[in-house]
Amino acid sequence: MSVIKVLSRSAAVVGVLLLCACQSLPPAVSPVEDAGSELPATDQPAGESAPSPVDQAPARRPAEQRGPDRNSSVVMALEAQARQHIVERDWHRAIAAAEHGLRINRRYAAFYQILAEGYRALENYQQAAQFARQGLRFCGNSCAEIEALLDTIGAH
Amino acid sequence: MKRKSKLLDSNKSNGHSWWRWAVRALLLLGLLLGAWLIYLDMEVREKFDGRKWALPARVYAQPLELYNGKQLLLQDLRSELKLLEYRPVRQVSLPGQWSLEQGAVELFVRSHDLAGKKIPARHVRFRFSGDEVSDFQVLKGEPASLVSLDPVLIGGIYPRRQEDRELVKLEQVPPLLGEALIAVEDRAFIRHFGVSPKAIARAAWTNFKSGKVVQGGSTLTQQLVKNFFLTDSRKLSRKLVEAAMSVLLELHYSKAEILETYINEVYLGQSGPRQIHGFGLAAKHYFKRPLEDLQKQELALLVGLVKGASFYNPWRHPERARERRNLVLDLLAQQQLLSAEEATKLKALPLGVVPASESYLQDYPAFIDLVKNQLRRDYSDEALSSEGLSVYTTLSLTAQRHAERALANRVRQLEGSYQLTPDSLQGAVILAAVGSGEVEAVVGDRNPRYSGFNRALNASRPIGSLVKPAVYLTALREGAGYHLASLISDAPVTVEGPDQSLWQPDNFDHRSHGDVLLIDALTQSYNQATARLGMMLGLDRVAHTLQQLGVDKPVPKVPAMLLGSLELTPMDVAMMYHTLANDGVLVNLRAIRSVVDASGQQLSRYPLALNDGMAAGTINLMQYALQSVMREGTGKSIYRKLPDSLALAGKTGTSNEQRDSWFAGFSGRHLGVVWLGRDDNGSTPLTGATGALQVWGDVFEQMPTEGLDIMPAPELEYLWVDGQTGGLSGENCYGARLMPFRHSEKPSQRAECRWRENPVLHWLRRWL
Repeated sequence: MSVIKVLSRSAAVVGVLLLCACQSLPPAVSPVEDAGSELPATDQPAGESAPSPVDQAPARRPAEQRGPDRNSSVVMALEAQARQHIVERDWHRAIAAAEHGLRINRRYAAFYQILAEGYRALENYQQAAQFARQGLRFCGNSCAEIEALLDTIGAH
Repeated sequence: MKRKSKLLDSNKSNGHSWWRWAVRALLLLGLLLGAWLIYLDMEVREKFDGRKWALPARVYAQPLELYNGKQLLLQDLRSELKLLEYRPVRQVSLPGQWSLEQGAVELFVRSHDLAGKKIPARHVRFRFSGDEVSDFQVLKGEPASLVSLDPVLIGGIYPRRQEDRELVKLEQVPPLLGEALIAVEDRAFIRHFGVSPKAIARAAWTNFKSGKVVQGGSTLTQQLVKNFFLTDSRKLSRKLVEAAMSVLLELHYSKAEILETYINEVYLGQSGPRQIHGFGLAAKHYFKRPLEDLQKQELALLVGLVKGASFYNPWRHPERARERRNLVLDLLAQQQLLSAEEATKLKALPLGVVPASESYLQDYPAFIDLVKNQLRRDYSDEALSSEGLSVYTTLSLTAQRHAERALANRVRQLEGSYQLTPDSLQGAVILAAVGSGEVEAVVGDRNPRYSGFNRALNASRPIGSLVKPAVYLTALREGAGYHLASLISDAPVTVEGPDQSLWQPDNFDHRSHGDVLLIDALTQSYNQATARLGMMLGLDRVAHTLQQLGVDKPVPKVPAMLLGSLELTPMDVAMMYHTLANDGVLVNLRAIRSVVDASGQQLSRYPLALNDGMAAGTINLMQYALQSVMREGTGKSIYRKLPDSLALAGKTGTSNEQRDSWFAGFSGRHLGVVWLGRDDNGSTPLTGATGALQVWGDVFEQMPTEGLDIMPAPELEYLWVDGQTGGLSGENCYGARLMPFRHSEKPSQRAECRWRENPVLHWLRRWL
């Protein structure tokens, strides 16, 4: 009795699965999650005519975002140095240190934030806004500070 | 009687008058002499008290930085240390030494000035893990997570007379040098008052006996006055001025001041057009070491060169130079400044000068041109060539070396394989760091030391298909109605000009390809599809896109512009493609980081400045399409030499009749632009792919870099589309391709799906 029950349940599951598999669109793809996994090789089904070079080699997805940065210790040291200059209100040095940091990791949001703070203090609001906006591109899930900064810059 | 007395009176009065006139004349002469001496005195003091020399600006490369994760190859580290004259040793104990033992590098970084900041000496150790620095630690000195090496001097900005020197203070000078100079050039230096009558009499007698001028009686002070204030003429009047000035100089200044000035002034050789003055620079020119590090026989050689740096040139006339050096050593022994045994031992030693090829300052004329162009916006020529400024630049010696070698070797190889006339091909390369916009290398000629026409900055040539991304970007803008999978026609196209002329562009393969996806039209660089698309979008809008990408030259709004009749220099192209690499943010490419004055004060810094460019989302779509060019299109041959895992983006360009071969491409860290062609604008057998791309590949094969990470803007999503129709598809559908779309502009129709494998199996495989 229980065997029949299991079989009938399994059949139902397979049926649902078959229905699911029929959809041609994949489930919603998050670019970041997908990034890096290469597309399957474009093996050609037997009997198909030779595809054109264009559809034979689909474009790959973007390369995977790197994990924790290999140079994170130096990046953090430069960030600490730049923040110290901000505390000391030495804006030019803070800007120079943040630029140095960007030469090592150009997608580290904190450096853009420091640059925005530095230029705001120097009353160069145009550059401050540019750097804050650039920081927003790379801040991931911790954007509140940069957003607030951009608001204060916008007020000028 | 009366008459006689009258005569006497007259004689008396005549004699009196003559005497009066003589006294007057003498007084006048005395006044003139006095005025002349006052004038000379003023001249002597003005020059001696003020800035004595015009000091050229010194230009430095960017310093090599060491830290965990730094991309660096051992051979590049070796080259840099060689240029900086670090000595390989077994056991590192002093600044300027380094060792490599069992995979661990130990390096004692010297203390140095960097952009006005004192960097202390540090003894560091690290390893290489692949192309990266790892296990970095400071063994001695202040702890630091990043240590910079001393920046390499790469050139100077000279006045017309290319006089160069490195100033030294008397206390830095080895005592033997001063003693030797006095012993050889002017034994009475300590005693005389500027001129030595005894020496003059001796020289006059010798010259009289030989019937020509064979000996000079000049003191060190006179030699200094001659070099410092006067010309080389041997006229008597000049000699008188020289003597007067020498006496005046001795009246006002101490012997030590005069000797120090002499040591910095004297001419000691030539390096190409650059004149080597002073013992400080001469030590580096001949021995590649600071003056204070020279040994006795090396100092003797330099002292010997004072008599005639060209005549005793140790590279051209080593035997003559050796005789002269040994004569100096003998004189030192005679004066008991050396023992006879020591002199004998030193005379047996070789000259010890570095090879002639190493004596030349490594020069980078094409890069220095760019530095000068940027400096001239803020500094006068006079300030640049006289105030002793230090200019810290963005030049990466590693990148420059790879670019120079790649261009020189590849054009030679291309000439051979296409049987072209030797030296008929020319080229240019620019490398820049993505993001900072720092120019890391500029090559303006296949012979990188040639300082003539700089093609990288000044050769404006039609850019061919390098313009196409601007056409496609115009289409991909928000609201323009296109996405990467839009179908566009590659059928023949005809455009009528204002004078009824017809423009009918043709594809490179002379075939039409029907309806193609927009991404494929760019990937395969189809001319017909691009021309039609551009005409539909409008020339004004395409020109506007070019301007937003940083092209600041007037763009002729003619249909041929869509296929690259626009003429740009490699530097202009680098600017344009940097905006593509930098997610749409426009940054002016920079060659200078800062300028520091002679006292170490920073005069100016050249900061990173961001400007409005294009929306990041639109640029991300283009970056994806340009990756497709490299994977499947005209740039795909690059992956024969570069690893498949390295994501790159770029575009080839070929102008009419293959006169110009272009490639512009980027990784996540570096942008490179290459142009190849002929100076006479003749055609070549090269396309962008067979010419410039090969040079680009050679550079990127050697240079550690990072793959391009597209960080998609929030308005983008990735969807599977059918490779033929551009309709929505699925991962398991035959011919499906994944590509990014803006939420607001994406395919709406579904394409028919032919499964690649049983959907259940496919689903299970994914699931499991």
